Formats: sequence, C-alpha cells, structure tokens
Amino acid sequence: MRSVYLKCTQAVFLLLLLPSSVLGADRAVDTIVIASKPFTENHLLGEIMAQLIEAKTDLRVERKFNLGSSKVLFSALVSGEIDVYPEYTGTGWAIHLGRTKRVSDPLRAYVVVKNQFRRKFGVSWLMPFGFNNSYAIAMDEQRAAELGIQRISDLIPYQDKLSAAVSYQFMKRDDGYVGLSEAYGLKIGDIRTMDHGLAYEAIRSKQVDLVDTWTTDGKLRRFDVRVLEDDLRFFPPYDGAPIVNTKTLRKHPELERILNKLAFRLSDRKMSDYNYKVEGEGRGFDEVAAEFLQVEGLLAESEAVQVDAEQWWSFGRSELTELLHLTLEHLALTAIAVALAVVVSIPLGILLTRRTKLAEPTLAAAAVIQTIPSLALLAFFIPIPGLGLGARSAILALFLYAVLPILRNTYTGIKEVDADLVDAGRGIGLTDFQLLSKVQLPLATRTIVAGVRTATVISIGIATLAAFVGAGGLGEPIVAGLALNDSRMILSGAIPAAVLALAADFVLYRVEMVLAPSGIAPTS
Amino acid sequence: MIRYQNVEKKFPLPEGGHFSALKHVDLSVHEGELLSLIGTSGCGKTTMIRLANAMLEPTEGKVLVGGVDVRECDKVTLRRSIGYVIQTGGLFPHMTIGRNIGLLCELEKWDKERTREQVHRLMELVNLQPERFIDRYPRELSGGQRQRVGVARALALEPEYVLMDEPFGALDPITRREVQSEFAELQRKLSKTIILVTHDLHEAFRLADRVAIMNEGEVVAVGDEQSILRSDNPFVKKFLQSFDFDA
Repeated sequence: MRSVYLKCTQAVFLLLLLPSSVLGADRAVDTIVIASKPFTENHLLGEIMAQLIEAKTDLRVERKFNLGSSKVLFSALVSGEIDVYPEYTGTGWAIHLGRTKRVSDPLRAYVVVKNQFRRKFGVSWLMPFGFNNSYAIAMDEQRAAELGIQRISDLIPYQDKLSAAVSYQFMKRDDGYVGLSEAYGLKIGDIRTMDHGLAYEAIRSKQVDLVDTWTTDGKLRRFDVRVLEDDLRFFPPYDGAPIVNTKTLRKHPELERILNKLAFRLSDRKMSDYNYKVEGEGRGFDEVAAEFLQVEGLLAESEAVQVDAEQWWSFGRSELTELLHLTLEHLALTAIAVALAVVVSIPLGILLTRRTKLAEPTLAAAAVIQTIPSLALLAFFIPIPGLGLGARSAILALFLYAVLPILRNTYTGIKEVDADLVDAGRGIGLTDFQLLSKVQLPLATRTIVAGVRTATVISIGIATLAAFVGAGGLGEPIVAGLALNDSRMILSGAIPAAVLALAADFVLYRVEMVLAPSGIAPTS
Repeated sequence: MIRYQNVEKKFPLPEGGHFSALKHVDLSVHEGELLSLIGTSGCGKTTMIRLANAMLEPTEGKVLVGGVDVRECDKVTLRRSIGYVIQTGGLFPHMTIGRNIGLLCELEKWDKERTREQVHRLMELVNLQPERFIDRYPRELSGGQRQRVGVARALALEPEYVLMDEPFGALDPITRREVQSEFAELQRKLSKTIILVTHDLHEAFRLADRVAIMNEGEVVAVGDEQSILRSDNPFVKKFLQSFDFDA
C-alpha cells in the first residue's frame, strides 16, 4: 500500500516539476536536453554547457532547468528523457549509490562514482569543473577575529557561548551537524534551524555567530564572514562534473571532448564569484554564462555541488512522538497568537463601533497587514531586538494576521444588530454598557466567534511558516522536505497541519453553536 | 403631564443646510390622558415622542415631563420612568418573553421574586398566559402576541408615562382591532399618560381622548373627535376625506 501511495505522490511531483515535453519524449535525435537542479549554481552550469554545445556543434539544445530533486533528475537522465546535467560526487556517492560510509578523499569519490555509474546506470561522469561545493561553516568576521578562530576546531573552547543558525538539511544530516558534532566533539550552545536566506539575514544582523553554507555560495560574498577551515576534513567532497547518458555520448561522441573543455576551469572562489554575479548582481544566467565562456576563451565552462538526502525519508515515518511534539508546538503558536488577537481585537472592534470615524482607517490598516506576504513579515521581524529568531517573531506575525478577521467580525457583528433593537434598548433606558453587554454582544456572538474561527484556521496554515524563523511546528518537515524535494517529508507536515485546521474549524463551529444565544436562528 | 413649549427641531442635511422636522410646536398632554399624534409620513410625529424621552434634543424650546425640562434629567432615569413601545416591538430575540418583560426590573435590582410576580401580573394584564409564554422566544410568537409583550415590557417599572410609536401598525386588520380593544380596556384600568403615534385616524378616534393632527412639522388641530371633525383647517379637511370622513 505504502509503495503504491509513494509512487503516486512521486508521479504527481514529477508531473508538477517536469515540463510536459520532457515526459512527452518525442524529440528529434539531434537535440540535446540539458537539465539542472533548482538552484543558481547548477542552473548556471547548465546554461554554460548549453552555450558551449550550441557554439561548438550543430546540435539543437533544449534547456530544462530548475527541475525537482536529484532523484527526479537522475531518473530522467537514466531513462534518456534528459541527456546532461551537472552533478556532484558527494551526491552520486550518498544518494544515487546509496553509500552510507563517509568518503573524505575527493579523488576516490570521483573514481568510484564514475565507475559505478557507468556499470550500474549507463551514465558517464565527464571531467570535474574544478570546484568542491562542500558544506562549510561561516563565522561573523568580527567575532572570529575577536576570538582568533580560523578552523572549526578553534570553536570548541567557545562552543557554549556561540550561536548558530543552520538549514534544516544541515541540522539533521549525518554529513551535516550531526556528524560534524561527532567528528569534532563540537556542541554549539545555541543552535537553531531556519531557512537559509533567513539564516544569512541573521548573521548579517549579528544575531548569530555561525551559519552553515556552501564553499561556492555566491550570497556568502555579500557578508562580512569568514569561512572556517574544515581541519579534520569532515565534510565529504562535492566536486561538480557534467554527467551524461552514455547512449547520448555514443550517438554524439564529440560532446565528451567539448564538455571536457570545462575541466578544472572553475575553482571554489571562481564558482562563487560567478554565482554572485547572478544572485548578488541580479544578472541573467545567459549573460553570466556567456561572460564566463568569453573570459575563459573557450566558449566552455564548469559546475558545482549540491547535497541531498535520502535518510530523510525516515523522517516521514517519523516517530509518533516527534509528530506529536511538532503538533503541540504548532498548536501552542497558533493558540497564543489567536488568544492575543482576541484580547486585542474584540475590545478594539467594540471601540470602533463607538468611534465610527476610526473604523474605516483601522480596518483598512488591518487589511493591509493581511496583504504582506508572511515570509516577508517574518524576515522583517528578525533584526528587531526582542523579537529575533524563534517563537516571538512567529507569534507576532500570526497575531497580526489573526487581528483582521476578529476585528472585522466584531465590528460588523455589532453594527449589524437591528437598529430598531438598539433604538428600543436605548429608549427603554439601557445604559450604553447595558446595551452592549445585554443586547449587542450577545447578538453579535456568532459573528465574532466565526471571526475567531477564521483567524484560527488561517493561523494554523500560516504557522507552517514559523519553521522559517526557527519557531518549530509542523512547518519543520514541510520546509525541510521542500529543501530536499522530498514529497513524503512535506506530506508528513502538511497532512497533520491540514487535519489540525479542519479539527480546529469543527471544534470552533461547535463552540459557535454553544455560545450562540438561543432564540435567534435554528441551531444548525 | 408632558408639555411641548415652542419646540423646534432641525436636522442637518448631508448636502448642507437643514431640515425642519418641527416648527414652533406647543402641545400639552394631560395626566391620565391618551393623546394620539397623527399625520402623514414625515410630518414630525415620531420626532415628537423621541423628544419626550430625550432620544432627541430640541433645537429651540423645551419639553417638560412632569414639569421638568428633559434636558436637565438623567437620560437613563428619565427613560425608565417612561414606557416605550415601537412598531416592530423591539423585543430582544435572544431573550425569553419573561426576560424581555422583566429586563428593566432586573437592571433596577428588584429581587427575583418581585420581578417574577411583576412579569406574571403584566402578562396576565395583556392577556398572555404566563405558564404558556414565559419561556418562549419572540420568534415563536405571532405579531399580535409580540406586540402585547412590547406593551407589557413598557409597563414593567410602572411608569406614569408611555410613548407608543405606531404600536399596532405592523398587525393585520383583524389582529389590530383585537389588540386595540384590549389596549383600550387596559388604558381604562391604568389611566397612564400616553402619547400614541399613528397614521390611522380610525385607530386615533377609537383609542384617544384627544387627537393632534400634524402637517409639515406643525400641529394643525388638537381636540376630541367632534372638534376635529368640525375643523375648518384645509389640511384637516383633506386628511379626514382620505379616511372617508365627511368634512
């Protein structure tokens, strides 16, 4: 059952991720399909190879960039739907060959993947581009200088005082923090997981001392950071190289010679410089690729590394306790935010019914907040002292999103109470407060609770983004799964979150029914 | 008694300027008298009663209730001393009949037993069997029954004065006659000082001791049925004709 289900989800993802022409497969023989993984460096390498082939041959090149995970891409290569894409030795070793034993010698890694791939998959590794896009640890330059830290080992004496923000993959992987910590005997006092972009924002604003990164990461160049030397050679090699379906090579043997012109043209430094041209300077991939080929005088090029994980699949099977923990975390975030929103919005909504001039601007302001993309709002809070990374920023964001539905429903709920009833109440001598407490609020209860219900359901959804700022919750497996293109892991967070939202909706519906005053409408 | 002394009421208009709802009205409603205010829509009759319980303030002149200028009264105290019945009943849909009637007693901190007795007494007074209706909600009642509840609620604190704004206007003709008769009977027993707004001249003549006919913010004729029927005022004549009275 499970394998059928898995195949289905994978098929769905494949359909979503691959343009239909790749699946269609009805292409001319003299067309080379070049693909890439969905990140800058890989995409750039793909473009460089494409331009080189276009310049040196009469072959037509079809670009299929930014496709799903390594696994998806690799199976498309094996089946011949694509011909070439840039791969990394470490990925070939751990993912496609499924080797669990760590390799530290780059050459050995390359030789093993090259031989094994040809035999097992009919896939050829061409010459490496020359860089090793490995995991690395980067430290705030000023702090590193203060403490005199050059190498990862140097961190150990200060480990309790240091803070780190790392990506989800890095935190959980054996060749990430788990193994690093074991190999160096390093245990950083304050380590949290979050989206990579946010982690960089955190180190830029000096909220954390350390982040994980890649040795060729272009974004890294924008920050005043020091990449620490991996003195124990813990991180496995991720040397980039083009990999080609062997049948394609047989048909077009010239490809090997042409693509090998790129061999060792890109050092770590150079690769990260070119990545920066795209990521930091916002230039087009084609423009940067052309520049590279020009500068190198070959109309030729190279590529980089990427990490993947399969042991992550175990996460989907994750112990029930983990799921329970994440669910409770998720509920707590939502409940605190919605409770705060109730405490603020209901009195404010009541006030607005008495100061109607303020109503329009206030509701409009709440609506504007609603339109801010959640991730942008979270990123905005990170540098603010007292918020920073973690639950506070997440709760504040959720709170802001929960205000509008409750505020609006309180305001309209009270405003919509029949004017004749308000008139009658006032006319028989109720004070303003009695009118509110005996008439308006009871009659607006259903509308107000409906607002709380909407706010809660919205918050449960948005709370999945709390994982981006390290606040935990069911977003953790979703975010990690997205980063790894692992649909099972994504679902292991998404399904419980959806169930939670439905359950909350139902429970609050019952609450609405119980709290709704009798005598108004049929209670169903 | 309720006295209107040279009362003028202007409402500002959204496009600027103002609309004169009442122009120099002088009118007295005597103790124990039921005075009916009648006129076409927009003649100012509802404005008249809303001035009496301080739901509106006069632009000029004074409204005296029991000899006191209403502007000098505490509004809540004043309103609790004046019963108020509106056309739609104005019953609170989320409260039972018993609670609707007893609400003001509750707010005046009457003890439970006294409130319960009062509610029962008032329900019997308006011909609603307490045991049958006390725990029902307004939407479970017919229009006529709801209007009886509205009257009972207005009498909860045993006010000397009652203001009624087209109380029977929303009822079908048969029910209306029935409720009117009951109400006439009730007034014979209670002798409250009542202003009853209506647009139905037959109702006014049936129930009122005196009738005040209003037109465009002015009281154009006041008196009992006979004196109204004898009036020379051209508007009164036209108005009477519209109700098939010879004039």
